[in-house]
Amino acid sequence: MHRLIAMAFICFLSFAAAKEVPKKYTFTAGNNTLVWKAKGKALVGNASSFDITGRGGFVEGEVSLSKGFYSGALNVDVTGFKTEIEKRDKHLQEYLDSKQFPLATLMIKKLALGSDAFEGDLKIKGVSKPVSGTFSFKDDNLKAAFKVKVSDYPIGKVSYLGFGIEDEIAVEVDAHFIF
Amino acid sequence: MRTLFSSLILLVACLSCEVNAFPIMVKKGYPFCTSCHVSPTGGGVLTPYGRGSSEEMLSTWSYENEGSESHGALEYLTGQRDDTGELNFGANIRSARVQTDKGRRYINMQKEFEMSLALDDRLTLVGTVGEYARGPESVKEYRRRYVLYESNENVSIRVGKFIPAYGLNVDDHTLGVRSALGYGEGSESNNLEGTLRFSSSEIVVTSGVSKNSQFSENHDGRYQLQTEEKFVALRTSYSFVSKSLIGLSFQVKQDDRIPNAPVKTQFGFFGVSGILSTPFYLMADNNWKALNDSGPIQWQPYLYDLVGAEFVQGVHLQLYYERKNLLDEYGAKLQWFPRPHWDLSTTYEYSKLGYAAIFMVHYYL
Repeated sequence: MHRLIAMAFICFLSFAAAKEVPKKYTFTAGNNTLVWKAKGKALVGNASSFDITGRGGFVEGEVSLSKGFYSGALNVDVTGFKTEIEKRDKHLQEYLDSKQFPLATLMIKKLALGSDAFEGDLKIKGVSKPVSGTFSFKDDNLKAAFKVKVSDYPIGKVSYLGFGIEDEIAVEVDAHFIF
Repeated sequence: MRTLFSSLILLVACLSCEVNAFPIMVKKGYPFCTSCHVSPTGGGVLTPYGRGSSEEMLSTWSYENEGSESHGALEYLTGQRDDTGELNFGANIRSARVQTDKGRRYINMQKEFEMSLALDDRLTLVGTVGEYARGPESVKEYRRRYVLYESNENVSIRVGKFIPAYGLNVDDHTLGVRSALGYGEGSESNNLEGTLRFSSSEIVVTSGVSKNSQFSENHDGRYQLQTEEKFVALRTSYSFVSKSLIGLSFQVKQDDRIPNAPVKTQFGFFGVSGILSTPFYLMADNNWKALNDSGPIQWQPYLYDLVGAEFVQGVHLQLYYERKNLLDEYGAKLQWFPRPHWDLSTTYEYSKLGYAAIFMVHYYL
């Protein structure tokens, strides 16, 4: 009898300890940071490349669970992007035409519960293109990462005094949620 | 103890998250020289991007296209800016007023003109003509002249006369440690250089002959003749996180005109790093030179450690420690890049031999 009570108690503790899977992740300006990394590349000659790191522009939106899959729309205000060089920031806003298209939108279409891989569409300057990447949940933290091809969007040829950028840009989002 | 201090500085540099041999530029995300300079090891004539950077990142104030060769006048008249970099030219005029406890001197350090001409995407010719201070006199020289062949963005070969790659090629012409190591201003030698460069790392191997026409000037005006030596130098650098650079230098040389001349070895490590997102940055270039002319080898330290800050763009306050020829020096420097083409600095150095106060005006075209 005592053994049965002990087993029942252990089972109770196990169920109590198991954390409920969040049904919804809400991204707000205060709970996440977005960083993107591009590489400056010589358009003329063979000068060495350099890293460009962009910060700012918080992610806002919701990703919710339905029938074993997460989906939702996440918006980023691109007017907040900063790269530490004023003129580069100005050029960036011009390339993104941020007055007309202030938001970039990531539509999460397929993210299975328990999986890290996602598929979706990324809309920049009114043009949507498929993207895929990872959403890694750990405790209350989320790390999202995906790559964007500049040539997929109507951004034009990026060029300044003999330098442009490589076609692929890596995007990372770190978010912390309080449930 | 001081070596330990130097090592600690480099360790801090390695651990911090953000760093440029021109440490100011490493800190802004440009760990390698060829974004801004034609020369793979930095210094000398600027690329169009380098001119743009002098406007946007280096100087306190600038107007549109001020960094160009014509100070923007040609661009204003034609309405466009040349970004091909096929023909670049530049100039350096540098003068210093030096006050020591032995007296006061005015030195016309250099007046030079440099030009680079890209014959195609791979082949570039570079030549310099100038007049330079050598002790109390001035001499006319063709200091740098080389052919640069860039097979692709990863591999380049350079043949001609230039300063070999060793340690950090800082912009400071008063830096004594580099002169003592054989890499100061005016130490150009005839070399063959190969560079292997990847996105975050670089290896440069140079072989050459440094002839005995090189001089090293001290604050009190003394200068010394170097010997003719054949050498091989290696410098490898790695940008391990954004805005940080660490590296190793190694050199062996021998004067084969002298029977049984000893092989002289020197090595060092260097690093540049910004400190997170603060205005502060650190730089270290610490080397040890084998003294083996007679008796057992003794490793003599040649150290250069600096902490700097840029609170306002273009204004740098730097504190540094130098050790060369067993002499410790402490210095404070205020450097200001008010506008593109202008570089002003005031330096105060102190050692047990005395002090030196240097006011330098540098115009670069």
